[in-house]
Amino acid sequence: MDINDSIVQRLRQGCPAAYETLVRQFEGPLYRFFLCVHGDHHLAQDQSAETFAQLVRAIPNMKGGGQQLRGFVFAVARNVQRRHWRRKTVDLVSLTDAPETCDDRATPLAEAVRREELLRAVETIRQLDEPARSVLVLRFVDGLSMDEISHALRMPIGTVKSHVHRGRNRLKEILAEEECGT
Amino acid sequence: MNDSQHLDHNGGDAELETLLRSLRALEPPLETRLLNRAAISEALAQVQSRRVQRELPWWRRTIPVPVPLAIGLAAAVMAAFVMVRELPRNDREIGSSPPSSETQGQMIVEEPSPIHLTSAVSTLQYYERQTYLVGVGPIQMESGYQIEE
Repeated sequence: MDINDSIVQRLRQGCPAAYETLVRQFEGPLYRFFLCVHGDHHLAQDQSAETFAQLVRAIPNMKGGGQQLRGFVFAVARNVQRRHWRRKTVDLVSLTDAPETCDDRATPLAEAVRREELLRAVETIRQLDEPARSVLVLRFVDGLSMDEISHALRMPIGTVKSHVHRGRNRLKEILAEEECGT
Repeated sequence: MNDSQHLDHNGGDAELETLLRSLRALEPPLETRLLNRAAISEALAQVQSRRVQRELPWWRRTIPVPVPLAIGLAAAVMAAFVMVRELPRNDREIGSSPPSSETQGQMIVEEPSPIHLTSAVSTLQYYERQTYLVGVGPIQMESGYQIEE
């Protein structure tokens, strides 16, 4: 369900049902974003929750409506992530420590293959430098537009495009190097 | 999702697309979902309590004060109270007798011999007037000359 202006209005008023819609809409993208950036399940989980708590305080002051919400949510997420970088260092736990997802329909073999692929994807993306890593995750994993990324990361749209282009090329290089290695 | 959000399916891009597909399909575990909802509930409760505070009349509002500041203020108030109690006692010992009234009294100390400036008709008289509060001491003092006819 897309978040429209009326839901944003209800979010501003502190309506719990509207926040449930917000969580459903953004918990996946935020978790994926933090997981790709940190490569750590527990940190991704904590920062997702912290982002939602920050959103409750920040949304009443948000300018614009439903169109601006996605960029705004990731701008708050980026601030949460930056604050963590200022006060770190924590020892990152491997992604393999992540608990199983609640999808119990997959067979153990399929689940193992899926986790292996996921681990490889996260590890590959984490080889990119910031902010190219965040830009690529927002663009190709969470599907944000260039404008939304520009707003979320507070960088000019030309810089976003440049990071997308260079990041994609760098990812291809990394994949090629991995193939040569194997 | 439009095409620009996916990678082109040629060369290395196809492999990239395969790589990212597993990420796109990733959903947060149940524990994460529960934590997100708990964080929202807690933050909403805080916002709500702040909103209720703002709606109270000013004399019923509370403000958070750091403990060291509160201790310092309390000590300063106590010190000021003790000083106010001690100083008037010393003044009273130096000055004249205590006021006769139990709660609040005014005392006029008159000079024994008025100064006669002109004729016997009008005189210039010195006066001192102090206002006492029981338990606190003098709270107001006034002195000067007045013409009496």
